[in-house]
Amino acid sequence: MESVAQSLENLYYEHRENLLGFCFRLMGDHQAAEDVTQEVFAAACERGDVEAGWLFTCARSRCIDRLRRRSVWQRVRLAIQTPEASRGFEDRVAARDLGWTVLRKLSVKMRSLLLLRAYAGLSYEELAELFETTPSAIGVMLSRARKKALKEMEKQG
Amino acid sequence: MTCPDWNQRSLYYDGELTDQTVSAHIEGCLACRSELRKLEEMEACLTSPLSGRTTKKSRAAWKLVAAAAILVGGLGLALRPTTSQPNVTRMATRDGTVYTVSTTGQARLLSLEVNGNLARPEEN
Repeated sequence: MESVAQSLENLYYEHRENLLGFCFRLMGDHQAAEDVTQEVFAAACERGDVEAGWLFTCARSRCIDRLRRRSVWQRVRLAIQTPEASRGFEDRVAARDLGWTVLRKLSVKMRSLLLLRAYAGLSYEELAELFETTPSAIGVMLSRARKKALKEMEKQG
Repeated sequence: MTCPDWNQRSLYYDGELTDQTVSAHIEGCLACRSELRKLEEMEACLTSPLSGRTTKKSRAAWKLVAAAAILVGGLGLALRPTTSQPNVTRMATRDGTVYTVSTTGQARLLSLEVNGNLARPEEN
């Protein structure tokens, strides 16, 4: 039988890149995404037996905490910057990622909902519990988020 | 039948649409299928791998995560006021490095081993 340590390590190799992508596209910051990914796996090691869905929901709450802690100025800058006007290496990397370019136009709530569904494949019931709403409301929120993301994607060509 | 709205298409995409008439329409409608393809492409873009990532880096990082976690876990055990029997936590990584943390029930670390070699000798 597979040990907990082995199963955690397998989970790490299987999901690290996805978790990194998830965190980056939620926050638009590579360094913060690397940090949260490490934190989540360290938390998984302490917790022991975890599933992939747990990794993403744990990452979501940590990313949201970080976004809340960001300075007002940083939030304003991220909201108003265009790919051309972006500053610094991190910003240029973020501007090249189509996923982030599309998602940054959505609210954090919509972004995290879309990403949890796309990366972790959480069911409407699981998402409803997480977002403290009903499965049918999740359906409506997802369709709005997708519609908006598609519109942004079309703008990018 | 007119094409369903985005909400219904999105439900269909997730396999959550219960209305069979609408499902049948989507399956037979070129315009609806084209919209669903766009949705697939968009989601594929959201989950595409980030550029410039290597698995080699991940392997090194796992060792750090495992080592950090086991140290934290070991300290947690050490601080737990239970029996004086040593608690042993062991974690193996894919390249064969084995981290072993031993503690007593009292608030101190007994030993830390890497590949069976004592990294911190037991203090009596």
